[in-house]
Amino acid sequence: MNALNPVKRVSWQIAEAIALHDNMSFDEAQGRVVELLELVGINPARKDEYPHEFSGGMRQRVMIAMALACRPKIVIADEPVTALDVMIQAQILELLTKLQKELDLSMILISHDLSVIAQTCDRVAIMYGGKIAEYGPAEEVFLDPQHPYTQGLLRSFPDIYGPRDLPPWIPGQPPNLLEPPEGCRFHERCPLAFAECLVREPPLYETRPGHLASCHLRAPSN
Amino acid sequence: MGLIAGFLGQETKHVRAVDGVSFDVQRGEVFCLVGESGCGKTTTGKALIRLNDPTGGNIFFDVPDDEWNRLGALEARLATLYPYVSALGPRETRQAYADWARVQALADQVESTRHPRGSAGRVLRRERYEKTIAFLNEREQALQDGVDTMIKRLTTKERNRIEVLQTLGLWFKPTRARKLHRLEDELEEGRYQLTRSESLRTRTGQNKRKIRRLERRLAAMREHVGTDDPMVRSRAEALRQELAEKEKRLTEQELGRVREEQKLVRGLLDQLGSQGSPASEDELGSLNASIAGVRSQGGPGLDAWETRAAIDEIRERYDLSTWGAKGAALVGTRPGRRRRLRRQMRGLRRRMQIIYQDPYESLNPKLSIYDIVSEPLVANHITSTVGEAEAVVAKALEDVGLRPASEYMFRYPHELSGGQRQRVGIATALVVDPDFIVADEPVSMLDASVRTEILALLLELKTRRDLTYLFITHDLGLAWILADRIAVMYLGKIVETGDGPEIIRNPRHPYTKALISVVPSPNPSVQREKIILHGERPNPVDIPAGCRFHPRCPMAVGICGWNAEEVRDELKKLLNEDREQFPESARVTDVGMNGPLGLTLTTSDPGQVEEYLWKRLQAVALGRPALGAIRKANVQAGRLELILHEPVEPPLRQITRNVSVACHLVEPESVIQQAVGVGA
Repeated sequence: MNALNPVKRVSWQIAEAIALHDNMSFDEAQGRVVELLELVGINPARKDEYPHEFSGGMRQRVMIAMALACRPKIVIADEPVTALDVMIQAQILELLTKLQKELDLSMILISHDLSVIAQTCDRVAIMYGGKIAEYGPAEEVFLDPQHPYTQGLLRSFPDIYGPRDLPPWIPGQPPNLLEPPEGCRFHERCPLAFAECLVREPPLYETRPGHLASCHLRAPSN
Repeated sequence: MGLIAGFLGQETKHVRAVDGVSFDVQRGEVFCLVGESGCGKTTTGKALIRLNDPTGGNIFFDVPDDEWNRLGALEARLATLYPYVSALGPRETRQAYADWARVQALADQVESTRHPRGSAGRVLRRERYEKTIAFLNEREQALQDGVDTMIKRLTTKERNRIEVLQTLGLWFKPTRARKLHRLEDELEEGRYQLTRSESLRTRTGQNKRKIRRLERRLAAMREHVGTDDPMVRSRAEALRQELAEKEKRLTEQELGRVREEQKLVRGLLDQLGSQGSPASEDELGSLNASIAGVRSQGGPGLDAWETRAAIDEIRERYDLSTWGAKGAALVGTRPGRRRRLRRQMRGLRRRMQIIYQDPYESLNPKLSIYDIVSEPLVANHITSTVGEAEAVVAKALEDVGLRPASEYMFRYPHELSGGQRQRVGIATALVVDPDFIVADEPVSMLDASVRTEILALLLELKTRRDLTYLFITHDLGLAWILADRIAVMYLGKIVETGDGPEIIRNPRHPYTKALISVVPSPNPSVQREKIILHGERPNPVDIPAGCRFHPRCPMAVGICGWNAEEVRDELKKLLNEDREQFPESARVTDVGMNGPLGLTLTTSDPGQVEEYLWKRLQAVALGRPALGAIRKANVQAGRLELILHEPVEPPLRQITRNVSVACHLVEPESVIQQAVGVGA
């Protein structure tokens, strides 16, 4: 939302990366700018406008165009739809998945919204307190979560197609990372914590091929 | 403004961003306003509690059910009368007004016959006297039992002195006791400062010295405290006797006065009863008969006048927004009204509160939590002393789950997490004990795990404090869980409203359908078909004609309000695609616009083009709804004139018992045909 420079034209901001990396002048880069804007669904006639003349969804599209300017192989999308309305959110996600397929991109999608991840990602890593709590194929993680934190997180999501109740939530606050808790970082809020969780940090156990969970409950029984 | 606008060569334009929005929220209900940003949800919410000035319309608050139902019935009646009334000529209208005035006059006469000499005023006086007597009787009893609050208040000083003496001993006068308390407070504050400075590693020494100094002074003062002294005991005894005597004296005085007053009021009541007598049944009967006579001759004009008068009377009693005649005058433009409104609002501010969306921006970073939460108390004159305010603030903070309150009260917003800040926002709204809360996206800025917690808190407070919420959200997932009823807004209008679960399970308006289809589900194996609306919402300065949703609507048809420009573009595209199939002789050389609802096709053979058009339009009608707007074609020499359907805005129509929808697709066919002139 606020990542664009308010005093520079949109075309300049997209061209900047191209000019710097591809050894082109700003004027030469304009052709590529038009191409990129078409790619993300903005009328290229508007390329010389300022960011404030664009709506939130369009600004996000411009950001995507900037990210794609130098034909990257990997794109990190940091909460790309968090500040957007549901409809615009759906538009942007559709665009991202489309681009990812067309341009054969790899994408790291960072989000706190599990439903966004469920609808777009192939693989997921759930993080808690600066560590990876669970890691695996999206479908498996969402349908059969192995870590109590993932389980709690998934349960706390209201599902419009589910029952009409307030979902349960995870009590407590995230840990202070200046003094992270001993043992498992989640034990203070974990409903299933037992003695070992307080003293020893669990490694990532492989519960199924490619599906890892950092929880003592998932330790392979000897 | 004018000057700047002049410089920039711009004109100021007033935009009706929200127009014709009407809904009712019932006590103890959660009513959700749903829509994309910029659809006017927040504006509506703020206008309700008058944080925005509405330019017109009515806001009713706290209307009893029966009055509300009566208003609804009257309005429905007026609506049925309207066609008759609008058909009346000027002479009949004058007659109807004269009839109405006669009925009014007769009704007044009945009233004054029923209560002769002062009429209604006498009834009121009687009531008041009876109430006064009841109150005086109660007071008398209280005085005799020695539990009268007024006497207690008059002897507070003596009471306090005894208390001070008993706890602090002889040496202490009330002024010294206050000093001691102040020192104790200072010490506590100093200790708090010390813990703070220790954690910040600044000015620790200074604070420690201050604390030592305070402790020394306190110890010196406390040395003098002794309550075991016989002197103290005898002094307390003397004081107690003094107090008892004073209370006795005051009670007797007060009792005398109360009894005198009782006598006086009883006398007044007796006088009232002995004067005049109700009118005879005959008199009333003849008056009522003449009223019925005028009514029977009056017809619908009189009926409409009466209904409207009754509606106005109810509205006048409950309306918060405007006293302008029929919405023509702007809200509060006349100075007297504005003042009256402001006075009225001040009382209502306590009862209507708002929770803001962004807890990171809605709390003043320069104020402590205590200052923030106590501000409404001060502004509304609810508490008068600091101690009282502190107790109320502490209770509000504990209610929203910030426990213990003393831990949070003197922190600043930046020291709290997002969830805790939103709790402070909720406490600020709750501290004045409101009935009605506008919750403007209260959880949209919070993380998922905290979100449910805050929602649970809001729901718990609702049951505990009997609150009513207007919940503004763009997240239908939340509306699904919370809403008793929903109104879906698009571009300043309600497009669908009614029972919450029913609307979400079975949406009828295409916009609602689209919104629900894009709510992401946390289940990756479920891939539902999404209806993604393309484009952005139009600028409210330039609202599309007809149904304002039609340019983005995936289900739009020809009658939804397409204008000549939209149809021309679509037609040009079609003609371009079909270019090959046209014989050279019948080629369309130009498509021009002829006003907002007409197109002119220039061609050498208009007859052939017309034939082609009708055939082609039927084939492509589904994919290109804009072309469906072509209603009629006139063949003329060298050109073909096309006429489009008149744009008609779909009204909000009740579809089932508890759902109303504003869409042409749900309207009965006859209504549509009449509205757009099909077959005319």
